[in-house]
Amino acid sequence: MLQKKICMIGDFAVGKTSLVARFVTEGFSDKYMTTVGVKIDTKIVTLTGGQEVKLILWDIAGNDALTTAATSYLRGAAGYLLVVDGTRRPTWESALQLQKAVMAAIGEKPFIFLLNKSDLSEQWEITKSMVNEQLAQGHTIIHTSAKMGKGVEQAFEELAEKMLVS
Amino acid sequence: MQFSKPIILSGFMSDKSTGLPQLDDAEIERKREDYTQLRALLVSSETERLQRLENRLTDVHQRSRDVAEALPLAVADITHQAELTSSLQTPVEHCIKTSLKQNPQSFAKAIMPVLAPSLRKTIADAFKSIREFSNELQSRLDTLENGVDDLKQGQISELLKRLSYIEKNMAYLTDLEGRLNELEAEKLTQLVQQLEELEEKQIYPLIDKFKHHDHIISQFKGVSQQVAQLRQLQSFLTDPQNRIDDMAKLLPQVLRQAVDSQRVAKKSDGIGEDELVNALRAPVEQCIKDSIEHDAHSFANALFPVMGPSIRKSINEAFKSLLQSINKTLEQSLSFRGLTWRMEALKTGRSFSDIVLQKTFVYRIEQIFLIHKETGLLIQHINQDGIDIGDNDAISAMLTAIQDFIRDSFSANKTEELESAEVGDYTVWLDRSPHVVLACVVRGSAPYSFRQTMRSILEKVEARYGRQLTHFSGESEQFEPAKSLLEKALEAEKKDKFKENRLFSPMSLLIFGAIGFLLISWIYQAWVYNHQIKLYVKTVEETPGIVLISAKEEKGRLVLRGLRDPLSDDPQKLAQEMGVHNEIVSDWTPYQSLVPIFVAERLKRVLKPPDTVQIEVANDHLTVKGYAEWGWIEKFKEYVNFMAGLSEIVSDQLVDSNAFWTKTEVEFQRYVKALASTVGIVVISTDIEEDKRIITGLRDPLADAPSEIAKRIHLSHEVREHLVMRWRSYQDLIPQFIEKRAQHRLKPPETIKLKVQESTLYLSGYAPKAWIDKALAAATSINGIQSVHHKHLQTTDNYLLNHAQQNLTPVETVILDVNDTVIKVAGYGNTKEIAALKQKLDILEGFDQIDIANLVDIEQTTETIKNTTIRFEDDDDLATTQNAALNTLTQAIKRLLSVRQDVQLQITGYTDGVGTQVYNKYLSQQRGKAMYNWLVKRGIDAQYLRITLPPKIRFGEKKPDFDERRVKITIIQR
Repeated sequence: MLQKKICMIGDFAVGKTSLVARFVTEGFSDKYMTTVGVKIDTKIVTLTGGQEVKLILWDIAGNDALTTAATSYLRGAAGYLLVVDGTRRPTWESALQLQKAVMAAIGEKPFIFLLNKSDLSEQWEITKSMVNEQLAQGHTIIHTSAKMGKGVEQAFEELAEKMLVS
Repeated sequence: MQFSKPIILSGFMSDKSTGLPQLDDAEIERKREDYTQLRALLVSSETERLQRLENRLTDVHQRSRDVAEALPLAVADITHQAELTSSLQTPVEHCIKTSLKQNPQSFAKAIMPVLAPSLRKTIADAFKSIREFSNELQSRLDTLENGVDDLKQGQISELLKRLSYIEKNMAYLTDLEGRLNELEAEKLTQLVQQLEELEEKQIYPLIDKFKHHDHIISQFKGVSQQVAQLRQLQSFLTDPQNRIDDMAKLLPQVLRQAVDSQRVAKKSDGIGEDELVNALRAPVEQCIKDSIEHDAHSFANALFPVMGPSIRKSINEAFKSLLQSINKTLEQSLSFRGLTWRMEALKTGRSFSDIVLQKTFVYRIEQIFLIHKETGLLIQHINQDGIDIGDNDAISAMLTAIQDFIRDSFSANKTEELESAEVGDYTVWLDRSPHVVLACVVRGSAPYSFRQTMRSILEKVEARYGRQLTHFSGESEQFEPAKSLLEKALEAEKKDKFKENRLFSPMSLLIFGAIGFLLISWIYQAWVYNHQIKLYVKTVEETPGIVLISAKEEKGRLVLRGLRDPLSDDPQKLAQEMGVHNEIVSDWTPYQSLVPIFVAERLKRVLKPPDTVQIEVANDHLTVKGYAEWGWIEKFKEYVNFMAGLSEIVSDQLVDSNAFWTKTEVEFQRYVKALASTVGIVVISTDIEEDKRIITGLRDPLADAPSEIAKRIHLSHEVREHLVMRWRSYQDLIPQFIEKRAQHRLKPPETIKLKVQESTLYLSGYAPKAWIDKALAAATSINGIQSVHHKHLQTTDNYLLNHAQQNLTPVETVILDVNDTVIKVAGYGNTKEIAALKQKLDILEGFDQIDIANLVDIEQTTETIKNTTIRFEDDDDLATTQNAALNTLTQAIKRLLSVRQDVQLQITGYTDGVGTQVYNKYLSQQRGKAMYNWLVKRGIDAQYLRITLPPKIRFGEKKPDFDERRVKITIIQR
C-alpha cells in the first residue's frame, strides 16, 4: 500500500496531538499532554478515486521555531499540517515562520494551515484579512476543532490528495 | 531521405549520346516545357532535401537530438579508446571533482557498496596477519573470514553475472550499431553517387544544351548554387576537423539531451539499460582510474570525510567481533562447560565451534524491518511465525524517530548512529546503508557475526534497489523481492555456518599438551618406579636378619624370596616407608640370625627381663647386670646355655634382688631406728622401689642431718648406695626446738641469755639497742613462742653507764654519758677532784672510747686566766710577741665558759703612767678594747666580756713603768 509521511507542525498547545487523536482514534481529551520529541500514529485514508493511502503521522513536539531535532523528524515528509490555535494570535505568526523554515529544510511540499479550536469562536483572534492574505498566495486554510471533530478528516484527506497530485 | 524519382530520371536520360539532337521548335518548346517541369520538380525536391539537410545542421536541437541518437553508437564505435579517454579525462575529472565537492555524500553512497567488500578484504588481510601471531584465535577468526568469503563470493558472482549481462548487451548493441552504420554508410554513398551521377550525366549535358539560353542558365544558377551548398555540406560532413569543432560545440548540450531523452524513454517504456551510461562506462571508468592514479590525493581528500567514519566503523566492528570471539574462546575453552561441549562435539562428530555457537548464541531473529532511511517509511517487514506484531509502519517511523533523536541528542558530530537498543530479552540491532535502515529484533544474544549478515543484506539491497530507493515515494510493492533477502537473515540461526574442524584449535593444542604432559610424567614415573624398586630390593638385601635369595617382578607384584629372622625389620613396612606401592608378595623361610643384636633381642623377647636388668651386646659379648628375682635369674641361666652366636656371657653383676634386700635388712633397720630416735626427725615409712630403698618422713631443718647420723652409726656403703630419703620439712614444738629456733632466728650476742618456758621467751643480759628492738619485734613470730619476758634485758649503753657510775663515783659537777659504748665525761672540778677522776678513768674497762674533752679543771683554768698578762708597746696594738699568751688565754676562757656560764670576764687595760690622765684613760680603754675585739674575733661570746678601767689612772710620771703597759682579765661571779 502507498505510504506517506505527514508531519504535524505548530506552536505549543495548538492541538496537534488532539487533531491526530481525533483523526486516528476519534477521541478527544481536554487534558493537555505535552508531546516530548515525536509521537507516531498511522491511519489509512481512502481518497476520492478509491485509492487507499496509509498516512504515517509524525506528531512533532510543539515549538515556535524549528529545532535541530524537529528538522531531523521532518526529513522525508511528503506533506505537513501547520496547526494554529485560532484563539492565540502568536501561534499564527509562529506557523508562518515555521512554514518558511520547513520549506527551507525539506523543500516545497504540500501543506495546509489548520485553524484549530474553532469551537471557541468568541475568543477568536485570527482576522479575515490575515486569512485572505494566505489564501491569496494559494495556500489552503481549514478551520478545525479537534474537540468537536470538525474539519479534521477533511484536513488529512485533503492533504493526502494534494500529496498524490504533486 | 527520399529517392522516389530515380527511375523517371534514368528513363529520361537513357540517351547517352553527346551533342544536341536536331529538333524542331515545337518539339523544343515541348521539351522545354517538359524540362521546366522536370527542373521545377528536381529543384523543389533538391531544395526540400537541402532544406532538410540545412535544418539538421543549423537547428541545434535537431542536431543535438541526432548526435545524441548517434553518440552512444559513436562512442562505443571508437576504435582508439585511449584517445577518447584522454580527451574525456579533463572534463570528466573536473565534473567528478565538482560533484564530489558539492555533494560528497552521494558519491560515497554510490561507491560504498562496491568499496565495502574491498575494505572488508583489507581488514580481513590485516586480521590474517594478526592471526599469524595468535593461533589461539585462529578458529574463530577463520570462521569470520569464511563468512566474509561467503559474502564476497556471493557478491562477486552476482557482479560477474551482471557484468556478463552488460557485456552481452554491449555486444548486441555494438552489433546493432555496426549494422546501422553500415546501412547508413551504404545509403549515404548511394545518395552521393546518385547525385554525382545526376550532375554529371544529366544536369551537365542539360546545362550544355541550354547554354545559349541565358535565362535557363540563370535559372540553373540557383541549382548550381544549391549544388555548391551541397558540396559545402558534403565537405563539412566529410572534413573531420570541422566535424570535431562542431561536435565540441555541441557535445555538452548533446550529452544533456542524451541523458534527458534516455530518461524520457525509460519512463515511457520502463525498461532498458541506460545506453549512454553503458556507452560511456568503459571510457569514464578508464578516466576515473587514470585521474585517480594521476591525482589520488584530491580524491582521497574529497572522499575522506565521508569514508572515514565508515572505515572506522568497519574496523571497530571487526575489532568488536574479534574481542567478542576472544572472550568467548577463552571462556569456553577453559571452563568446565567448554570441556563438556568438547565431549559433545567428539560424541556427535560435529565441530566444536558448531556446538559452541549452538550453546552460546541461543538467539532468534524475530522481526526484520527494512526502513527507508529518509522518510522512515517501511519498505519491507518480515517476522517469525507466531510473533505478535504491532503497527509495523508506526514502529518503523518511530524507530527512525528514535534514531534521529539519539543521534541529534548524543552524537557529538551528528554522524554516529544508534547501533542497538535493548529491552529485556530483546535487542534491536540497527545497521544502515545510504538509503535504508535494517532493524533486526533479536531475542537472546546473537553473535557478532550476525552483524556481517546484516551488512551483506544491506549491500545487496543497495546494489539491487539503489536507484528505486533514491526516488522512493511510499510504494513498497516494488521491493517485494527484497523479502527473500531478509528471510535469509531470519533463517540465520539455523544455519550451520561453521563446518571446519580445526586441527590446531586452542582446545586441541591443550589436549595434545595435556597428553604430552601425561606421557612425559608417565615416563618419569616409570623411571622413578624402577629406580625405587631397585633401591628397595637393595635395602631389603642389606637389612640385617634378611637373606634375600630372589626378587622378581610378576604382573606388577614384587615377589621376594629368602630367609628372614622374625626379629628383622618388616619388608612390608620398609616398602611403605620408601614409598613403594607395589603389592609385595614375600616367601620368607624363618631362621635365626646370629647377629648379636638379634641374639640380644631374642633373649629379651623370650625372657622378658625386668627393668632392673640391663642387657648389653658388644661385638659377640653379652653383658647382663642388675637385680632380678631369683626365679628369673635361674631361667636366664638356663636359656643362655642354649644360645648360639655369643662367645662370652658376662653375668656376674646380675644379682638376685631379694637376696640383697634380705642381706642388708638388719643394717638398714639400725639406721631407721637411729633416725627415728633423733629429735626433729619422724620416719613415716620405708619401702623398696626397683633397686632402691625409700625412706619417707618429716624432718625439722634444725634436726641432725641424716647423713651425719648414717656416719655416726657407720652405715655400710652398700646400704647407703641403694637408699633414697624423701624428707618433708616440719617444725618440732618441743621447748628444746623452740629455743633452738629462737637462737637461730634472733642470733643473740653472748651478753644475752635466752630461755623458753611454756611458750614464753625469757631474755636477760644486755645487748645493743638495735638488736633488742629487732629481737622484740621478731620474737613472737617464731613458731612456738607466744610472749616475751625482757625485764632483765638492758641496752649495752645503759649497762655500761651503770658500770661507770659505780666505778667512777664522780663529783656532782661532772656528768657521765654513754652512747654506743663511748663514754663522755663532762663538767668541772677542782684540780684534786679531776685528778682522782682521771685516775679512775684510766682503769675503767668495757668502753670503746673515753671522751674527756669537756672535763675542766676549773681551779687550774681560773689561775691561768688570772695569771696571764698581755703586754703592749706604747700604743694599743696587740703585739705579735703576745700571740702565745693570747692563745693560752683564749683557750682558758673557752674552757671556763664551757662549764661555767655564771661568770663575767672583766678586761682591764693599764698604762705606764707617762702622759696625761686623759690620754692614759683613753689608752687603757683602747687596750681593753683591743683585747675585747681579739676575744670576740676568736669566738668568745661578747656577753661574758666587759671592759673596765683600772681603779686608778696613773699619769704625769717621768719614767715609764713598762710592766704596766698590759691588759688583765678578772673573773667575777655574775
